Amino acid sequence: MTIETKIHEAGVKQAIHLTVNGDSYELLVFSNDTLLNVLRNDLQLTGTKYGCGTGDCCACTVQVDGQSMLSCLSLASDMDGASVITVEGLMNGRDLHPIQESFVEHGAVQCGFCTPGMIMSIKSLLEENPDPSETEIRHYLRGNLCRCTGYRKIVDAALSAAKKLVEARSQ
Amino acid sequence: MNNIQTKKIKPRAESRVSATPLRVIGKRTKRLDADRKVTGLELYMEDINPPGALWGKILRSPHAHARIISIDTTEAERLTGVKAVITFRDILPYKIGMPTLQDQFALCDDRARYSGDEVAAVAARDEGLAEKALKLIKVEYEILPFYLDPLDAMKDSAIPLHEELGSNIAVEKHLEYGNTDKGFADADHIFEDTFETQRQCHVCMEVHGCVADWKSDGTLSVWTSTQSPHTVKRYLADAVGLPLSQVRVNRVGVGGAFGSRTDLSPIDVIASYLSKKSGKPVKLLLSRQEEFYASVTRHPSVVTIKTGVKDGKISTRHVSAILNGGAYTTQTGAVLGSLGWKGANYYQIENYKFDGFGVLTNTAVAGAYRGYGGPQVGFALESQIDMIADRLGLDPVEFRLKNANQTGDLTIAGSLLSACGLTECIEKATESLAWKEPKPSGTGRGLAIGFGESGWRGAYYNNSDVSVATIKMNQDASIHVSVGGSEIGAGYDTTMGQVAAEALGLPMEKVKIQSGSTDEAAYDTGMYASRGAITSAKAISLAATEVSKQLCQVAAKMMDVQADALFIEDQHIVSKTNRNIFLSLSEVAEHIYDGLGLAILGTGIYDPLTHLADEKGYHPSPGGAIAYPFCAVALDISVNRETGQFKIGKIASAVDCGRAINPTIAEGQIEGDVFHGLGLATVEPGLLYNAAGQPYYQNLVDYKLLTTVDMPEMDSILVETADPAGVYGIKGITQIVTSTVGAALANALFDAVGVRIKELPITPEKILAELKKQQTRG
Repeated sequence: MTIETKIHEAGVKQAIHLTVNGDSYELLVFSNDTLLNVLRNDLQLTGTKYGCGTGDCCACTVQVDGQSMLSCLSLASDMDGASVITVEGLMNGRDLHPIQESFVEHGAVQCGFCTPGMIMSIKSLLEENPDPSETEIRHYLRGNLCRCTGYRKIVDAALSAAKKLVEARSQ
Repeated sequence: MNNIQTKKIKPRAESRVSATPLRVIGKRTKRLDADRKVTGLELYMEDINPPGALWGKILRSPHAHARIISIDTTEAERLTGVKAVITFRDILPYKIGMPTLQDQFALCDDRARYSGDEVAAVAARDEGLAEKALKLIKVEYEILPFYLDPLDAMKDSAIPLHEELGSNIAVEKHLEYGNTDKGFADADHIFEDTFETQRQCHVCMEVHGCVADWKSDGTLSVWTSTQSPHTVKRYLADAVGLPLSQVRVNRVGVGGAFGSRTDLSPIDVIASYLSKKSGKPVKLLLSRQEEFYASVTRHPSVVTIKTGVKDGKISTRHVSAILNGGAYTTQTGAVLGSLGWKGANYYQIENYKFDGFGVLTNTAVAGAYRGYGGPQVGFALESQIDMIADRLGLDPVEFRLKNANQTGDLTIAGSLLSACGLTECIEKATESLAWKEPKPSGTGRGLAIGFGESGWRGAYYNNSDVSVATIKMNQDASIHVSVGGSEIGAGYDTTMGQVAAEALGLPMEKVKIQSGSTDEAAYDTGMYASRGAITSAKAISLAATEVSKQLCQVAAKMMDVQADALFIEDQHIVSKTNRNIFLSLSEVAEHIYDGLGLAILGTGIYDPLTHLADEKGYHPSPGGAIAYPFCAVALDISVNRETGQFKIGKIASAVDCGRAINPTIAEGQIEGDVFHGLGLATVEPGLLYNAAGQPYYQNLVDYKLLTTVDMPEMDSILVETADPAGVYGIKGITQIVTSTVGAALANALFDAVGVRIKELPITPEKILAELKKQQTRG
């Protein structure tokens, strides 16, 4: 899945402990396995997307210990003990997360390939800055590429999600 | 074709939106695929992992042009874990391409024609092994002269890339309507200008690829993200020598397409043969690097426009175009034809001539890309309109309005404009920019108009443009709608669901759409030419009429009235004469199944050849579109004279969409259209080659895409004209604005600083160079 060649013969597996979306895993990973590969191939969490493998499109964005991170550039072996949130971990039971809900309401989804990464970036943004301006949103999302939407409805969705989350907290 | 005269004919239907209340169409209904996509559950090709699947990889020619003397695969085959290695010898000698000219083998025969051409392929246990195996394949090449520029490839002395063609001019298109010689002789003024556009890459967020499973029972199942599942199935079956019934294209999420996934790709064929040879499913995805240099691109163009003006009106035009088609013809003939045809339709003119050349070069294959010839000709035509207005001292907005098409016009190319909201588009777009207000110094405003197609007769097969739909109604009056297009992100499933819901008086919750999978979905030639909104919607409407008839016939007996005295409204069948007499749809449906032992099934087959003529009493233009969308794009910019840098404040795009099925989705299409058009006009360098014929750009940083901070404010304006060519007045709009942004920007730049750029992309470097020239001229 990655651009760099995986030469298994040369690799040595190492054990790591990973918490993903609240579930605990003991995993054996190669030293050059990316977090993206482990999520997608070992845990079948395919919501996180491979767009480029070189950190240029942000389709693979996840949260690691609360921080936004590009899973295609992160080595799984460095993640021992970490807690990872992926797009699959956002729903509350059958209810969409307010960011997901806003994406649906604002038509921020077209082909959907960049969507998980966008949503995870916005999640991190709103945790760092619960009431961002449009300019701040655009600045924060400038690495997340989308070829379908021209970003407008994505930015609208982020603004609306911020409002929803602020309202939810004040109740 | 040459005899068609321009004449006014009476519009066949009301040209404004009728007062008929629509319940579902026109609503901002939630997308049917949105939940799957925001939760990460949508499955794209990369998420498809059949048990035991191998990894496929393609060995590509490093040379721009070379004879293949020999290929030795023995070492690669010996590597443990390698399950199949294939070359041209392992495949049927089937050529890929549109039926008019097929010239591409999925794997090179004795010639590699561009740096990136597919020479051999391997399937191995994992990706690393597959890459290692590629390095063990020994290919002996004899280097041949290569051509990157069509002007070089066109020379008589050039070696033909395809010997059987005899020349590198793969296609020529010549059109003449009226008499251009006379037109130019009679003209008061003649203007001639040349424009160029670059090789834009589609840059889908999901790379191209294919997962193929050729089972031992002789069936082939593929997961390939495509715009045209049935067309891929048809050509793939031919390419691998299987009956159509044994080939299945499965539905997968499509991570962006924009034209690049219109045709059968060599990747589909290669993955299938790797699966056949290895006896295992094979997953073959391009790397992001390969995606840039080895998937299709937009055609680079040189377009010359000669325009004659008489009495303040455009009377005569001669458009000449050279398109760089890359190493294989694929869509080049059709894009060239579309470019020439579009050029004839922008304005009401008297004489038109087109001379077009599609030239093969040793570069990546140019294919279908959003706009389809429109961005190339649109940039030239609409830049020149402002240049002419400037030279004649005319107001460019007024000049356009004076020459603009109107509803009911028949263009010189024979396109009957059954609804044309162009004037309103121009008014709305300029109003949005406060056009009449004075502008601050150092700023400028630009306007351009666009003309496009919705539906295209004869894109693949003769004159046909078939869409089929079937509707099954269940006992509770919920429906399964089967349609053969695919959800490529443009909202096909949702909008088609809305059409079906509207036609049968149902809420969206009762509609299930089946698309994209050839075994389950009805036949359709594919998602191109903005045709889903017109052809699939028509097919659904015809199928719904069948269903409605079946329901009304039974309901009439149940209610003891005549069937034609009934109509369907809001989940009920109601008497036209007495609204107090009604039955619920589910009561009737249940009776049909349980009481009568019957079932409810409607089929709609729509093809413009058989339907347009008798329904509307007219025929669309020969080989032309079914309906015609229009747009006007206005934008403002400020320019820094010291650096040449510019900033766009706002882009207003007003689009005649006939009727918006779903305004949110329609706006999304316009905004995406702006994104592709603005990228082409500004930051996207296109795929470039070094002197050795090898491609530059290998990642998303070098190939610049516009980001959230680069995008200007966008105003997306829907102009509704209720086009009688489409059901409920709908027509497709998914690519028209892309064709229009470049000229609007060039015009705004000229308005701001008096500099005219005739080559896309428009960069600060080019602006600065022109400003310096301007200063020198003093």
